[in-house]
Amino acid sequence: MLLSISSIFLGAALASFIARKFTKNVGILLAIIPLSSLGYFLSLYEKVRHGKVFTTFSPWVDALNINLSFYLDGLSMLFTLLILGIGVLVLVYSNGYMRHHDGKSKFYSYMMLFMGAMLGLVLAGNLITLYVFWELTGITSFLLIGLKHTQKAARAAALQALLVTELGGLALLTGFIIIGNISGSYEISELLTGHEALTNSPLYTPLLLLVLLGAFTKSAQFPFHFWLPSAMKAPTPVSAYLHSAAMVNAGIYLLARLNPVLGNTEMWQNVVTFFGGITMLAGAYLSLTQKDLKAILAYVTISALGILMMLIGIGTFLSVKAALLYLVVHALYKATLFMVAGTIDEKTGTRHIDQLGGLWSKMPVTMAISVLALLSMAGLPPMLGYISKEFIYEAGQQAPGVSGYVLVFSILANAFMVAVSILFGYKIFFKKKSWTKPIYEAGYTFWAGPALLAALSLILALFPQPLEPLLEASVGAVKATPIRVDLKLWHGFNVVFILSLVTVAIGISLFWSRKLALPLFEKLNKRLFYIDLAHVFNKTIDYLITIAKKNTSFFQHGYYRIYIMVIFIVASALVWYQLYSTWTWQFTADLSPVSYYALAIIIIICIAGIAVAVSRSRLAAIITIGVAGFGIALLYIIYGAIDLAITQIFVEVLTLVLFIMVFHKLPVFSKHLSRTSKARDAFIASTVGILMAALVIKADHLNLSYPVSNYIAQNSFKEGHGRNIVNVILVDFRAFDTLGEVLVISIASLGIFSLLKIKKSKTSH
Amino acid sequence: MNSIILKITARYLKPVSIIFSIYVLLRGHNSPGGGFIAGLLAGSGILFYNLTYGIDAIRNTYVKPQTYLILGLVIILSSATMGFLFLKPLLTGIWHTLDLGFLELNLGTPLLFDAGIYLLVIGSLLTITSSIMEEIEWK
Repeated sequence: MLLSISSIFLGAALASFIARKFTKNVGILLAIIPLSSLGYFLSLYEKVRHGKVFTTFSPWVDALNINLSFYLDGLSMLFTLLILGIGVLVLVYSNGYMRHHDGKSKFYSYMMLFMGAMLGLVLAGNLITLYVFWELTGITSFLLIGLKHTQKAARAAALQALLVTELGGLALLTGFIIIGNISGSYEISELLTGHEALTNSPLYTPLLLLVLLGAFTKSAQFPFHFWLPSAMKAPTPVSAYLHSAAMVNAGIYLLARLNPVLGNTEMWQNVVTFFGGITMLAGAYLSLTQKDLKAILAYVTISALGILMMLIGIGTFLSVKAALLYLVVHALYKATLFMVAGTIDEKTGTRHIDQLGGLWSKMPVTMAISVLALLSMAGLPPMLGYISKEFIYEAGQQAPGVSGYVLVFSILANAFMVAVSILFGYKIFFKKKSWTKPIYEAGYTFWAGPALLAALSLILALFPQPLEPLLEASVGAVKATPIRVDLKLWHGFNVVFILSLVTVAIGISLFWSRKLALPLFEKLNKRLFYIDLAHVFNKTIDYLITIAKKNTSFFQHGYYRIYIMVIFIVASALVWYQLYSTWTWQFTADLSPVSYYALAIIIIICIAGIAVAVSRSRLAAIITIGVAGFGIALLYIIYGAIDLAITQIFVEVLTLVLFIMVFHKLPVFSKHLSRTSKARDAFIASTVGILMAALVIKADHLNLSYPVSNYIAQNSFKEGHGRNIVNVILVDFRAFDTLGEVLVISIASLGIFSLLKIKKSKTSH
Repeated sequence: MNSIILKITARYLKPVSIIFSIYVLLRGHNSPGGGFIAGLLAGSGILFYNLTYGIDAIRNTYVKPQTYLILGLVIILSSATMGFLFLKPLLTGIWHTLDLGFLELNLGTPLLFDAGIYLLVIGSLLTITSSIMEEIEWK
């Protein structure tokens, strides 16, 4: 498994090379990589079907229970096959579609990266591993949506998608960490047995809400649905992949995966079902009033995601079965329709539904493919979509507690879908329209993929035997018990069948009355959706930036004096408060006797300190500071810290030199400080000074049961091979600290270097 | 700075301080010394020379201050990640004893780490001072 994921990432690295070398057939060549992975997973299919679970495991961060582990069961298998299968077809399609686009190599390499990230996500066996891949899908989709980075709209859409999904991502990480803390493990296989511990925990509510926030933002649930229609700024193959098999299904996968762990509670059912239902209805309704082909499909995707979410929320055997079947159905028809939309856009130059028409005779193959996919989308026989729609009704009918609104919502949503499907097909292919320019059928790379997918949704409906075991295995994985799945087109004249008839009737009548209904809906939209959520979101971001700017200009005003003053006041106030609240006077303990020469040095340092404060010239002040510094170095020597003393002397010398170097560049020594400001400075200085003294006294009385210095003194030679404890600490025991400091030093010096350089080049021009 | 005494002193002090700093660097593991102190020592020697001879002295050297910095960083990071070759965590010390017959040498990645710090300290010291010298056109 690890091999197939890494092979795809390798493909991403090779993509730009292949794109340069084989400009004509990049997509087809790259498609070989996921195709071979697909073959590998299909070879495991028989075993997974019979309930075998494949796992690989390698430790990553042992101390935190984070492992790089992968886990393949029925559910992962279902998603893997979708990701790889549709990925292959989309790559082949891109071969034709992207041929004349700029940034091809970038596109292919992002696409492969994205595929790898999705694959890793659905195969991850550890929550943290899953999270890493989760974020990776967010970042790669950001790159894909913003592929045409010269367009402002594409950049804005990419940023919006990134911000919304990453907001959820952070919430998700918090949720995962809480899960890990409660159950003591991040391994999914171990979590599956810890259902009770998690649901009975007092943290269950916040934990569930955090995880749901992650899943909802990723899967574009209401009220976070707005990023998905904007994301269609991406090239069409990206949309086809993003909407059908990938990114947006990540949230669905997550909830299906966590259903046995977190689900089956009242809260899960209510929240997930409700938001899913709202999303389903809103998406279906909004798709009806769109004019752009891709926008219509984007809202249909939102609706489909809502259906999936709702079914997973209900959480019965029937609903999980319906959800997973609908997942397949949706992936098949959505990828097809996006590719068809792309083809039409490519051949006619427009995606506006009112400007299209009469294409049935010009593009017969595309027409046939679309009709099949649209039938499946509308949930009409003899397509797979029909079976799944029947399942959805059946699940809604038997849903415990919520069946009322679930049924009404799904009938309405499906009726909208029927109307949209008819409208979509009619307007593009059958409405009368004469074209001024000649239009031809697209090449085979354009229609091969969609044709295969459309045919699959017909064949699998008529001969569902190959699909059944996969669904059985994946439903078994979600519900943690094995189950039989029977798919057939006709299952009797019952309530569900009548509901289907009602749905179709509403849908067709909506289509017939479109001249009347659509303007009405548009008016309603203006009333209902006068708050555009995407707009609200952008405004919030702008507002945040404004606040940040104000904040920065308040704190970073540029006066060094005031910075120092604020830092000292705040720090000393906080530390004083802490000392005050934990103070126990133990001053009775005798101070160790101080030798007379140490005392003499201390007196010299004190005199130097006073001299600095009262000195009238800068040079004198700098030199007296130097006296104090050397005095401290002498104290170090007396108490045996030779390393420190040498360092102190060097630093003292260098500071002196640096000071004198820039001496004549400094502003004139200000002598006209007012009496009050002098008093204020003296007060702050003495507060900080006394604080340090108090801290030292306090530190002397802290009774650590086992000082760490003993350990280091004993082990310095044994483990660090060095007799100089200070050095061994620096380069061995606490080398990580040193590494960090060293990085800070180098960044600081490069910063100074570039600051002065920039200033130089600015003044010279 | 046109002081003949300073110029002569600086010319001879620079190599001495560099050689002495290498000695300090190598003894650092067992006695006072080490990468930081040695870096300051060598850096001060070079700085002393630069201050006496002005910015032209820096412009004429082969090794630019930033080179020390980058070299130091590379050495530090490679010593930190060398443990990965032996499947050990980041920054684990790897030791190897070299038997030369007349003496035994204990070589380990901490020594490399220290050498990296040595170069980095020299590099950052010189980067900062030479930028300032360029800025104020120190002659």
